[in-house]
Amino acid sequence: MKNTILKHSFTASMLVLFLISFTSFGQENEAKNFKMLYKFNTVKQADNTRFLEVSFIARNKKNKKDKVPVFDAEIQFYNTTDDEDILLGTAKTDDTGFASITMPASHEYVLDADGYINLSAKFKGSKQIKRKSKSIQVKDIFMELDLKEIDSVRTVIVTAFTIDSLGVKNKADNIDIFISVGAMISNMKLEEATIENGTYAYEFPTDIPGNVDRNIDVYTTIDDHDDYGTVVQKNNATWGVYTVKEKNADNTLWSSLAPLWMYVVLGILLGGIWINFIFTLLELKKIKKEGLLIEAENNPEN
Amino acid sequence: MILNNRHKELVKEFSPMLESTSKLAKIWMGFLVAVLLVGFYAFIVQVSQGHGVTGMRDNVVWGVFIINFIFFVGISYSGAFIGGVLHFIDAPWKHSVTRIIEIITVLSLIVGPIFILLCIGRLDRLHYLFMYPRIQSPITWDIIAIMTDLVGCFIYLYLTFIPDLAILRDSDDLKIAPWRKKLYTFLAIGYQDTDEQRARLHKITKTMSAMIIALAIVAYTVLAWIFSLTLQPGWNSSIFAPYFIIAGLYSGMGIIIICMYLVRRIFKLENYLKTIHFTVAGFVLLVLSMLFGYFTFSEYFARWFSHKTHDQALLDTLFTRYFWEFIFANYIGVLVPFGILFFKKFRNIKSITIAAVIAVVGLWVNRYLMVVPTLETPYLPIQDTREAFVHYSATWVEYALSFAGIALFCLLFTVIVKFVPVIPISGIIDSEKKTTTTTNDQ
Amino acid sequence: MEDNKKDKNTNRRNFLKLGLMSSVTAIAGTSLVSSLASEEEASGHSHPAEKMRLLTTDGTIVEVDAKNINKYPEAHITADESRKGIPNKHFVMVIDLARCKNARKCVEGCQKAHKLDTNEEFMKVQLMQDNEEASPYWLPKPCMHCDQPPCVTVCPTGATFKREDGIVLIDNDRCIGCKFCVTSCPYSARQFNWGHKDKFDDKSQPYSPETSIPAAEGTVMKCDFCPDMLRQGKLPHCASSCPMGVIYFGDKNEDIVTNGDETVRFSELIKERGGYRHLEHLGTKPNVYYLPAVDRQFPLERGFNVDEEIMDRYKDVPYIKDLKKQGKL
Repeated sequence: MKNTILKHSFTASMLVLFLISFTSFGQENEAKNFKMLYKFNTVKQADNTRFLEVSFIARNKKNKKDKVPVFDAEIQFYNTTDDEDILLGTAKTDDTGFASITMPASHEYVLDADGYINLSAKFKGSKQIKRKSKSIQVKDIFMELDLKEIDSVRTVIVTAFTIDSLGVKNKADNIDIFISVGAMISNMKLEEATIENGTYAYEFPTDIPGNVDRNIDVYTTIDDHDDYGTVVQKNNATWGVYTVKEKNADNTLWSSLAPLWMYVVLGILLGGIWINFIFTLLELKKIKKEGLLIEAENNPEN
Repeated sequence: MILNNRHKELVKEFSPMLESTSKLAKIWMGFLVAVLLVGFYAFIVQVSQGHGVTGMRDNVVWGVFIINFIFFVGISYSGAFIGGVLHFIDAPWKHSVTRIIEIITVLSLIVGPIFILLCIGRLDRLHYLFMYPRIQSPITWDIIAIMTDLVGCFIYLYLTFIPDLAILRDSDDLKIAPWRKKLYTFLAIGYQDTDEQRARLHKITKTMSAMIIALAIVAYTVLAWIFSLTLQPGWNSSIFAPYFIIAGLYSGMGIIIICMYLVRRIFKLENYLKTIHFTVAGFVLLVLSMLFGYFTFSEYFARWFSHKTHDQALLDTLFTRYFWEFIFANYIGVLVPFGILFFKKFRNIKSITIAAVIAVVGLWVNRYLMVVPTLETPYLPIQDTREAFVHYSATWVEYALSFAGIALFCLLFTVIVKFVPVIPISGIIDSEKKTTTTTNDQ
Repeated sequence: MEDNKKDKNTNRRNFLKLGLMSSVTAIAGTSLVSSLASEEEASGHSHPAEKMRLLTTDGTIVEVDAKNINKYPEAHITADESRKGIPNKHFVMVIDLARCKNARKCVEGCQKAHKLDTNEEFMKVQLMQDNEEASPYWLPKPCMHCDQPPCVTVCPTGATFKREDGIVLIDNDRCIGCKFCVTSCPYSARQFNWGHKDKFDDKSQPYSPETSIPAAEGTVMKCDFCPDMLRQGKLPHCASSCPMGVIYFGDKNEDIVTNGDETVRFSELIKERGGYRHLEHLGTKPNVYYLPAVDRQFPLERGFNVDEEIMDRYKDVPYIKDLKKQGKL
């Protein structure tokens, strides 16, 4: 009897332990109900820094509209090479599911045989969430934006070039760009064009107001090019034709100060009326005084 | 003040009213207090549960409270106007009614603004009207006008009380409590009816009468501007201010007639409130009914004739949803008093009073039809499924408070006529002097 | 033309559905379409607005307090400051009636952002039919923020005011509830708080006229053009919630308006599409322009796909009456 119990107790306890861990595992891991959407993107910004961003969002398998950001996941950004992956930086996803780093302009990437920078963003994974990795290949391109007045025509000149391993500038060709101007909420596209032979010139419209100082921010963007990814460059010039709007008039019906004539009329009316009231009260006082005098006269007689 | 025999006679005649309260009066006052308490309870309900307990909702945001406000303030201004004008008319019969008119003026000017306060969403912030006033707003003008008018009417009423208070103070055979005697003494400010005092009093009363007439017109114009200076169909009319004044005078005259009738009946003052008073009042009411009908017709006729879209929508509402109210207010309310007063055969005291009652109620309904249908037919159509937001219907809170307002008016009137004689004694003596002078001259 | 527009908008809707817009596209200036937070709102989520769900790396879903998009208390604009406005701006809105299909996302987005109840609407969608022969159209109607506002003129305490940047706001702490402004607005844009609601006691963020939160009992409220979003360079909630890009918003001084997707010259938009303002003859000079409902993108009936209670609101429109008579509704 004792032996049978002992023989089976071990298996039984293992079974129990296994079951416990299984259920607790099942209760905690809600992640398995979600499909992980992992995206990686990069932009070269106007100051030649490179912005790398990952979006890590979980979508409910049963309810496709239910999307929950993955929070506090550590993402590591690498410059992958044939030999080893160079760690560029790490970032944790915030409460909207985005993690990003910005690489300084001076950073020198290791290129592969075809001249591409290979970037990857890796999520190491956890017990409940599988590891993720996405990579992008971009070639480095330099874009410059000049705002010049040539023969009294305001021209936007975009130049783009790559620098090869020998440090030689090579003009870029056949690259689609668009030129936009900055505005308060969203930039406005002016022109879509293609850079031919390293340059593109655009006659800037003469009727854009700009901001109050007549300053206009001009942007040129390469949008999701196969080789170069997304690149943005910006410049500004006082090419605006902003006309200073006359200040909202004061002393109107809807301003805080009323039209002057209202104060005058009100003053005259009220002044006249209340002066009369005061006059009346003063006369009443005189009546009272007279009455008291008379009473005084009468009383000694009594 | 030296009281001659006539003074003493009159005091004796009026002393029952001043000295004691009859049983009927007590029951009456008790009833009024009960109505007031119900109204007070309704007020508490409104303050604690918010304005949602009224029928007002997002489209019709002004309802019975504003209507009562316009109505009572209209009575007040018309009383001021008529009282002021009467001061300048040299008729022996005027003295009997002046006090009634002035009391009505002041009392309705107390009750009216109470209604507008009920309409204000945040009573705890009322002082902002004085801390941050914007003088472009018609409401600011209205507040200034009402306050000025209230002070003016009070002063005027007081001025007319002074000679009577002096008489009462010096009447030794008036059996009243000592505190009342002291009050009379204090308020009579030593008036001894000397020539100088009388001259001074007459001078300031004359200036105040002229001022009261002007104030009445200006103040009610300003109230009309609250509506006519907006863009809304039905309100944006150029004749609103004169229309309001005529309408106010109409209702005021009606109330004066009703009060004259009640005072005459209850206090048995047939000697003082004679047929001539009612005939003159009836005649004035007749003229006013014609003017009121003329203005009302002008308003609606122009809108109907030119049939602008939004005017059309407003008229549709008036002639469908408010059909019977429209008929009552603008046909019956005008034509019946007109019919009664025009024909000499019908002109007796009772029928004149009935005409006055119809006029007053008709005018209240007319004010209702002025305020509510416009708010129910805005420029951009109301597209809402909640009935309360589409059509306005007053709730018990609003009715309770309306009746409480009327009760307050009646209660204050009852209390005042216990305090001062409802027919001014000095006035009677003045009018008798005048008739004797004229008889003597003849 | 219409097909082009259709494609564009299908793409936009897909983007919205995927909710995968990143800061990248914002930097590139190509599109502003929603971040995840407002996307959850647009998708009609049943989760309460106050909490946000996050998935942590150990696979658990936690709920945290939703970070205030308005960055309070750091960006709190007091009542006095809110009277001045954002300098050198003149805000203007353009609503494209040719695209509106009564999706009511603008209504819901605004309600969520301003913590309004279901039947409190700062942005209303009305069904207008200008005359018997005309085709009815959906009219999203916010406050017009008129340049000559009748509501501001009649306020006795200065609780409602017009700022330098054109926005008309209400200071709940100053309003005495006289409702004169409600009766004066010809567009019926204002609403009144008739009784106490629990949400008025919410002290989690300090009151600012720019957010209109929390509202107060016995005071007036209305569309405020979301100045708190404008200060962050974002669109008002109605504009960003609209799936069809119906609502454009921008600064008239820089002459550029955007609906989050397309950014265009304001003057050109109005000239080319025949933009107009409602009730122009009343002289209020509203700042909301409408593009006429021509070349409609959707048949009107697409907009009937709403709650019966909401459809019932339009029962007096002649077209609806006809449909009912014919038994088609």
